[in-house]
Amino acid sequence: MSTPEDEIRFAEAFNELGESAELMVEPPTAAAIRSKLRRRRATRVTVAAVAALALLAPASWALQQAATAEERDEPVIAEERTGDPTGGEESAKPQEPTPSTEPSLETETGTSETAPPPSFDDLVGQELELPSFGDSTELACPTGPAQLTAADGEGPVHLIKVVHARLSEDGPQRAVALVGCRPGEAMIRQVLVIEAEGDGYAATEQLHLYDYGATASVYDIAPDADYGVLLGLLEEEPCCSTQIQDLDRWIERYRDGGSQKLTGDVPGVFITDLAVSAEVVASGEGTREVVVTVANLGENDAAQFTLNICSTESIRLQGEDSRDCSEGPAQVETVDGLGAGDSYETTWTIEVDPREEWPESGRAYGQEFIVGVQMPSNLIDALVLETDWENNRAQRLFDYDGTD
Amino acid sequence: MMTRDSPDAILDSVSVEQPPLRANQEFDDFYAANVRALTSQLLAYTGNKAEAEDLVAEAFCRALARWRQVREYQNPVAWVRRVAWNLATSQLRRRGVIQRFLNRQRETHETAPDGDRVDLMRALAGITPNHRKAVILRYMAGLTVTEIAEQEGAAEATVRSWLFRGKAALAARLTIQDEREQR
Repeated sequence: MSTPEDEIRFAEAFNELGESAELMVEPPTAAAIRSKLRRRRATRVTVAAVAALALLAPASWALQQAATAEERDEPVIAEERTGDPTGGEESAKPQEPTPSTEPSLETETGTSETAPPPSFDDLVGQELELPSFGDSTELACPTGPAQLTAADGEGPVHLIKVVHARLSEDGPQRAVALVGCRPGEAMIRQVLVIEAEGDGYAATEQLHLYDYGATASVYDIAPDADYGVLLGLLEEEPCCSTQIQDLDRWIERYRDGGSQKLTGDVPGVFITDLAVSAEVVASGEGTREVVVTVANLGENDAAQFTLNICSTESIRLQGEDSRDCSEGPAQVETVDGLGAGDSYETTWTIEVDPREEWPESGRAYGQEFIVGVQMPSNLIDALVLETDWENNRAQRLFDYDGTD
Repeated sequence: MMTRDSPDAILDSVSVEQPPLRANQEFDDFYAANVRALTSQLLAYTGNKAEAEDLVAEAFCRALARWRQVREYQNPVAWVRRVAWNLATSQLRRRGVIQRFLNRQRETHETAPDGDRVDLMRALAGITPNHRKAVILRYMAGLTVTEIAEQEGAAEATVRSWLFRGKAALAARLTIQDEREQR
């Protein structure tokens, strides 16, 4: 296929295409790029000021007042924006929600003291009103109402994790949820308190919202050992070319209506880098032995992780149906953590159909399977962060002639 | 673990950050030297001029935001190219265009082409994103297999496979065009 003549033809054809395309495109000037950056920074400064205040004085949020919430909230934010962002001690103190305007679930249902807070499974699939994910996001991220789907589910608004925690020393256990939606490149996440209401559930308080241009995104939540919720924060939502390793990260503890940055080591935090590889070590008649290795390349222990597989149609895990990658990977193993610097090795047998049974597209393009490793944060009550996604999958190709 | 400045310190650092004039000129020269080539590569990949221009502008904007760091890299244009291609890949994935390309490809293999003229841009649009990306980076950007593998975070063998298949798919489409033109 790849003769020298082919190479010359390709080079000439692409050279011509490149030349004509370069004449055709109309890129902005360097000055326009500078203006774009200045506008973005100006926006970030404004939003950072608001976000800083918002972190210090998280707005209490009540769904039952949704009809009046927008009218009420916007002027309040406008006042905060015009206030002194370096305000004194008084303005920096977290403000308690106004009790008189908050719905009291206890008084409405009379059952909250005994009913356990909702779990992740309780909330997946539920429709409930949520606070907005930000300006101009309503189309992509509907919130009135939103149906919460699991991370791999259909639908724009994902329930990422639910933990149970007391937010004040003597308060009841409450369900705190990390919810996300992706209207563009990056996900917008918010942390909400969700409680039972009537036959369903309601978001009754917003602890944190990351919007585009904001200064912090919550990557995970966990209950604190005593009381309160730990928020794992990154300076921005990792996206596209952003490497998590390059982002500033820290942990805050939300208690009693306000959050405080924690310094020093925080126990029960799993921030590390898992890497997976897969090697075919033996071939039988219609089968291959594949050694899958997971290495913990980070400096900390890894939490519980899962190994997954997906493949093209003529390859499958022995005894299983083949799992098309467009459907998402199928979970094969769950491993209870891995020490820093340690490796985990497992051997799988996969079945490969005879080449003559491959579909035409398979014969033209070969068959492949992909092994992935994930450290799902919603499996444990701890902060979990995988710092490098690029080495979380291994791909093995069975070439067009059936070799591997 | 890194520490974090107070919000006030962040505001100060943003508001006073001004690159020196020489750095400005450096960026301008860098931009002028590379923007058209990168945009044309993204145009070949996305098939949409405005989108390609936006993606490359965004990549250069990010480079400008951290120009003091990027200019020190051994190959700053590789950084911008990678950002632009990652943005393009994310955008295509979001829009489900990949699936549409795959569907078109399957249709093409299951049924004979119907005689429409197939030029290089259309042929590119008909192959899978990874294959398309590989041939554009190889033949338009002039990258080696090693450089493509590095940019894409893929094994060199994988890139060779993309190139092999991409060229085969393109050749098939271009041959069809040649044959029809000769008739």
